[in-house]
Amino acid sequence: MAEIRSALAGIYAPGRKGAGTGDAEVSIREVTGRDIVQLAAWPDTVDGVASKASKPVGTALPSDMQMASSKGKTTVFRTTREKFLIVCLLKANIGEALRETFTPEEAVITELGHGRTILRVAGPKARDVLARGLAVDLHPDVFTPGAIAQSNIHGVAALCHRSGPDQFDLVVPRNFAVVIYEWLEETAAQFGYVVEEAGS
Amino acid sequence: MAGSHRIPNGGRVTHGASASFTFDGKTYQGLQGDTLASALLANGIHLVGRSFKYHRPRGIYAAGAEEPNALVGLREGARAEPNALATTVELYDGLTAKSQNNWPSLQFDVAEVNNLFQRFFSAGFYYKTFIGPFEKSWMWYEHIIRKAAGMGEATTEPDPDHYEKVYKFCDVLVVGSGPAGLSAALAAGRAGARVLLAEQEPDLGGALLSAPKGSSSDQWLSATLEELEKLQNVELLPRTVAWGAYDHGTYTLMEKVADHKLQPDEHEVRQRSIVVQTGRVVLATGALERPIPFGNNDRPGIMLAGAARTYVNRYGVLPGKQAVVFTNNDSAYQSALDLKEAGIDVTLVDARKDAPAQLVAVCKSASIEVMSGRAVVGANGRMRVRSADVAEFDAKTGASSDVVRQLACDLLCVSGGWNPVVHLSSQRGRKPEFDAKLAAFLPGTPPDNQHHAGAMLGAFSDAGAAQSGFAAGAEAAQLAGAGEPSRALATEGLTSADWEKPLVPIWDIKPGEQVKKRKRFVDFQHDVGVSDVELAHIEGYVSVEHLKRYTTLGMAADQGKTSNITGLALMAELTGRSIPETGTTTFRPPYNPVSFGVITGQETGLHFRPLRRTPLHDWNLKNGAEMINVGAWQRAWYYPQGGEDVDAAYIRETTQVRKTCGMVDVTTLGKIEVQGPDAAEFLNRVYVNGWKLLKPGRARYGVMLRDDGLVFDDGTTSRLSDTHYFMTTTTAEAAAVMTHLGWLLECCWTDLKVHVTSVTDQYAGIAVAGPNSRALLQEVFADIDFANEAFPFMGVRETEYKGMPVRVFRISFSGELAYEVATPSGFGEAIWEALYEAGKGHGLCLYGTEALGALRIEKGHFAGNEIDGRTSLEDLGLGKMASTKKQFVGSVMRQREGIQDENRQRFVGLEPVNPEERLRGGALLHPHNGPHAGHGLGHVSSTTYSPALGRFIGLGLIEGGLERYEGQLVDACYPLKGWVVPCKVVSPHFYDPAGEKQNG
Repeated sequence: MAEIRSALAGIYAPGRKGAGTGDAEVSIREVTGRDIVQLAAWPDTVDGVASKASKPVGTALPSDMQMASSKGKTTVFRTTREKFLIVCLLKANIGEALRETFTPEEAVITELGHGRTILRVAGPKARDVLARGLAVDLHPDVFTPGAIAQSNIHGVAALCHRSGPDQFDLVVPRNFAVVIYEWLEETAAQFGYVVEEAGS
Repeated sequence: MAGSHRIPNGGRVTHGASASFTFDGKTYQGLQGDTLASALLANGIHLVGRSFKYHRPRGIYAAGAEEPNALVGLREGARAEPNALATTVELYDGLTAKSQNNWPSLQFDVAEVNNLFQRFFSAGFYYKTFIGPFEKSWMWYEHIIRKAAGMGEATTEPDPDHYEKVYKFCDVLVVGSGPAGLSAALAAGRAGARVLLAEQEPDLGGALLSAPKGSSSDQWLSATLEELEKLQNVELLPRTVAWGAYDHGTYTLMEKVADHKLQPDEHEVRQRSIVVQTGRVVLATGALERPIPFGNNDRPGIMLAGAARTYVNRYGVLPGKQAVVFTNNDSAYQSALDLKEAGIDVTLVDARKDAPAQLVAVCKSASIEVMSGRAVVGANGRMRVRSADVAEFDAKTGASSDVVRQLACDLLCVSGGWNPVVHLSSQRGRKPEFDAKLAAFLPGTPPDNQHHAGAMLGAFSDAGAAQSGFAAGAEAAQLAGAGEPSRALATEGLTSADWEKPLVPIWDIKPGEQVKKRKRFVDFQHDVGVSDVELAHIEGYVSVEHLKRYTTLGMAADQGKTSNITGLALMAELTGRSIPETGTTTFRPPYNPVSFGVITGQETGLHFRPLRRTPLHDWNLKNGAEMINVGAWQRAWYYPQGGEDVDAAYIRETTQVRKTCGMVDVTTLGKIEVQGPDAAEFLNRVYVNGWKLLKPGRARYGVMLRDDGLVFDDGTTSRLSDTHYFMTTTTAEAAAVMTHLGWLLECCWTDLKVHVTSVTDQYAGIAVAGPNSRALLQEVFADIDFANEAFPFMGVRETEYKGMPVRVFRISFSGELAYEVATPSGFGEAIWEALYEAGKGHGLCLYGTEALGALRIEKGHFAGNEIDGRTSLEDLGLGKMASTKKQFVGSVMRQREGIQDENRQRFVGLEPVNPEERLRGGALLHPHNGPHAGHGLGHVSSTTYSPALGRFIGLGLIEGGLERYEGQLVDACYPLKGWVVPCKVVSPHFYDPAGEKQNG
């Protein structure tokens, strides 16, 4: 497979930055090596598609739009009643598998892996960083691990997934990825942060 | 000691932690915990500024956000800040401040001459005087007048500091941290609710901080704060003002994070905007003391009685040595006693005949003389109050006698009662209700999710305020879904004494006949006096809203915190109506001035709005492209060579595309996947032309109309399989088209099984145009047969290049043989580079949007300039494209008479008679040599120099179009510059009208 050039290639710079010197309370990492595929069913097929897709996807699909379902490095978001966004390892070749599983009368499949950038913000102050752009209540009692929100950050449409107790994955449109990355760096500077090597 | 007027070890400031600061260039010493105002007073400085209109000397009048006078300029250079309130500026070591609105100096201000003419400078003076003699006289005078009247000056340098916005969520927001606010937070916190407490000052405690240090309330305060700080569910936000209340429980706050430092620490923001989504809100915003107008009541050394008490007790400052306290209510007695305790000589003048006996007795034992049934009718002294003229006063009639006594003083304290701070309730549209007993407006029934507590409800004892706060906090928490407070409120240590006697309302002290007439100010900051309100009344103003705008009372930066109620009470008196009948003005956000920095937050520079970058952005920059903003995008505008300007570059690029070939980044075009069993039917309904017969592997040009029958957007859509189409839209309308299609599917045609998904970010788009483009693409994508017969115009092919999937569309915007290549964005740069390298053998050039525009104008393709929301299919020459066999969006409305009118402005080409003469976009088309008046026959929509034709050309819209004007001369007029360019109306298809090049 040819190498995919990250939208952040021209700007991404790992290292300890911002206030303080010790362990940073925020980390930022581009999650790479992921494929993103949209599975869109129809009102009369969505329930059947959801259960049938769990096999090729490798995990049960979410039943609502508030919580993601995850297994290993595969995560599925339900973005509307009929649409699922499947994030998994590139090598899983999930688009092909789904196209083989479903006819257009059941569901249609759209490749979106190159159209999104995933940024992982983690650490004790991750929530404080995101609260500066995301108008969503991220209190751990409200936005529990696994929760998702489709909103916007700093004027850019974003899907936010609490992928761990102190860890959030932002799925943002590729062409705006630099905006969000720059914003994250600027916002996290007051806490002290580390940009980790991009990776899976 | 930090200041000559400092009480040794007095107040709550940190003795021993001194802070050096300058005022008007002179260095002084203050203490940590001071405000700039308290530090100035500690150094014996009362005179801090000159008034807005009359340039009268002014001093510090209050001790908080209600201060009308002490506006100063802070800091120098890029961090300079005008109109800062000295009473809220926290002192820090190295602070520099200067007085405003004076020249050459604060002590000697030339413009004080205005004061001599004050009877002429009445309400509306400038508008009345400078309106003539000519129609535009005001415009001529205005800038001079604006310069003369004024506040401080803002810096023009960019602000070096950072500002940010934060979103917060809570069950209960408490505004204010006096006994009511703290108790509300305690109740809600003990009930387990998520609580946010906002306090505009750096220390929590509100009115309790104005009590003498060591008071019994101090223990209550420290115990309460200790408990609140321990509660995990309570967040305390000092230095944070709640300035706006909005729909659905949304509140806006401003936190001054680093204003109390010389400059913010590295990576620290200066100020922060906080948007809070609240469950419930407890307002415990307290009350502000109000002045009483009397002659020269604005002299330095005159201040609110509560403020004087605060300076003594909280800041350990003696604001004078000999004080007169003038009041109409009980609260000032405490001030008088505390001033006396601090060593100031005090005489108390009570306007009430029956002064409160117990308080009078206490005063007597403290050696304070109490004069009841008396009023201060005037103040003497200019740069500082020297004495107070006291007269007999009848509160019932408002009549006063001659001066019966002149009391020497250097501090004159005033208390006219207390105005509850009802702003955040009023902002939600709740009209305040007048309470005759308190002579004050109370907030009325709480609106929305609000609860009100404490002094804003007229509860003026500490214990009473705390109890009402606790009850409000408990109720708020319960309504927000939390439980009951785990413990009840303890009020030990808080005073519960209420007023002994009611106040008598006094809105003005009219001097007796023999007494010198002096200006009596209502609004200090805008220099509005009682006489201005009277003038407005004489001139027929009745509404309090009109009074406000005519006299500017209450319109300054303090928004009339000390003046509004007095002003409207005067108006009521003059018009013979009651105060409730007269009504109040409505408070609007912000409660306190809010900086532009905090409103802007991080949205500065390239982040003013999110910048969209194509996958080729970095490459373009690296290779010298000049970029241009196109909507949210940045696109390559042109690629200069050897110092070319844009004109030279685009002419070269255009020429080379037509001669060999060129390559342009077209990623910005909107791209939408249309998928599903009913996709063909869907397209058939949204486009004007037919789509059902389009075969997979083929593309078609389509036009969409709006519901009203005018053209919405155009683009090429390709059929990739029976159920899968790839739509492109214009760059400008991409989002609008996507929204429109989504709406049609979700709301109108729910029976269609179609999904639309934006893939603008998923694919990079590269257009390769020119006679050599076929050979170039054949070399790079060898798997595809590019022969004309095998891959005809409007064909679509798919292949891979080194493992990277590629789609090639044979479509043309330039009129040349041309292709568009789409590849997943992450491969965009690799494919671009492959074409660029291979292109070297084919004469490939890079071209930007300027050449792209020139090529399409030569070809006569319309674009956004022509699809401007006003043009129909017929106007653009596409009438025949619309299918007559089907219904589509806009198909009915486009038949309207007005849209079918042959007189409408239609799409044409324009050739200047002089080929060297440039046409201007937007120029109006008028009859040749005819009258150049009115809206004309049409306008020029697009222009360029055409290298292919060796002349300037243009596109435009003209009444009746080609049919009426072909071959005729019209004048393109640009009235702003007086330019007139005669030009000939021709077909818009200047270049290759038969399409031999693009189809060949």
